[in-house]
Amino acid sequence: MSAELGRTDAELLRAHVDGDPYAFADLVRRHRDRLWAVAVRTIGDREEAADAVQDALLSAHRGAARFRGDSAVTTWLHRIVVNACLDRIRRRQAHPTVPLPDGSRTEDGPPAGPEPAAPAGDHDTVLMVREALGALPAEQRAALVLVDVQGYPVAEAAEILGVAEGTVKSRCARGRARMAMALGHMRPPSGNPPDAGRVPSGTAAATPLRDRRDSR
Amino acid sequence: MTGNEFSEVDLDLLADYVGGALDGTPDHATVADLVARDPGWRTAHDALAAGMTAVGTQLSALGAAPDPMPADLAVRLEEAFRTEAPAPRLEPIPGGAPSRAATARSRRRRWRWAVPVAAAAGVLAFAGIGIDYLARSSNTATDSQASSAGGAARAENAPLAASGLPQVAAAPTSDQIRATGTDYNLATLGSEAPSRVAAPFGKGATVAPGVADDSAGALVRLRAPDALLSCLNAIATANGAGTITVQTVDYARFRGGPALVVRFSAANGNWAWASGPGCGAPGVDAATLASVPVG
Repeated sequence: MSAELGRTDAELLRAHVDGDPYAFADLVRRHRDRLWAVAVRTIGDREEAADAVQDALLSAHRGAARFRGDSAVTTWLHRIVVNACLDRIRRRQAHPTVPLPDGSRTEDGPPAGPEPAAPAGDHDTVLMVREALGALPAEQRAALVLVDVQGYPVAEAAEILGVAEGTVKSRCARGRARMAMALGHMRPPSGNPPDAGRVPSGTAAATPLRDRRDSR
Repeated sequence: MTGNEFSEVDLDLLADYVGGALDGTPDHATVADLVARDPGWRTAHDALAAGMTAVGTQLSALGAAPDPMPADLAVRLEEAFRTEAPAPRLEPIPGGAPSRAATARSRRRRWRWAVPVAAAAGVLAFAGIGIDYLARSSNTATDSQASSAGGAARAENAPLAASGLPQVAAAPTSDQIRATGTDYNLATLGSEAPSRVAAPFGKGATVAPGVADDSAGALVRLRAPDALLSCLNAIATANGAGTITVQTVDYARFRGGPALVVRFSAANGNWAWASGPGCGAPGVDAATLASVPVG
């Protein structure tokens, strides 16, 4: 038996809480590709993203009765997945010496695991963009993945991340700025005033940036 | 985010301005004025705006590339949901043996579902019932514990690692639980040597002691034994090295915020682990703030 397509997300979740053994799977089936995309683009490592999604969705499965309905079900699912991703990223940063089963991750840099499939076209550029995205602080990366990569409205991203809309805008803006520096997009316009200085380019340009993200 | 080339420009602030984060704030007018009147700010603004637009375009293109959930993950999720069907629909299976799917899953290297202790205890309360949910391991001893009339009582005293999942070897006893209110940081987190060894599970773990300073009650949830055990279980899962043996639990702080500081040993060594107030709650996992090796 499968939940009929006509049921809303909230109805499926309620059915799951009420004991329908198929409802939660039907609910996840609707959203799994988007949840996966957010996870893999936030973590940057497919195997770890899979673990994060598994953990998160099982937590949601078990904790569905605690859903209060103060946000959309899909927002709630995204929040749980994103939190699981951020938790793993923070743990990776704070706990770098845990041996990894696949041995594919370096201690300091972004994960070296397989990358998501690249679109046709400029493969090198895609890899550079991914690398620059992966080098951002986790909070900026998560915001950019939601808003710029996945196209969620700022308001929904704020709900998913549990922060104010202004904070999401700031994280996105600063993340874009860092990436622009890293990717060499900040070219000096012609006719610069003499005291305007040189616009940095290349990956190294992002290194000395003062990180003000804690202030937002 | 001020680079050397823009020493006179606060690029973070400028990025906020370009990205609309300052809209409606007094800073917006200030930055607008600087951009209008200061050549350095104007140059930086033009370069940054163009660069941020280019990045936005590239990120959008990244999102346009389809990357659906891998089929094997989708199948594993469906299996898990079926196995973990809501309790009211679980059917008693006297002496139930592990299902083929569950057995296969137990062999899967990265298939490491963390089972909250409270949930496991609740399932085990079905005395005389063997439930597929618990049949992850091919360990028949686990099944016999769950399926016998005294299964629940015995399971309470058995190491939780019997399920083959990352778990807590022994619930902390009252004398292992502290409430120092110490404000740890990365440098001090590992400095306090554990002073006691773990005690057998189920003894003296009924109530966490009073908490003198828990940041206005932020850690109150974790004073409940079930919540504390769920948190410890989440830490074991996050640690990723199997069963942990808890040495001390300290209701404290980390970098000024409320934190549960747990010292434990595991297959990957001794650790001091700071977790936030949400530790063990659904969707929060271990809420890890920091962890450092000890010794």
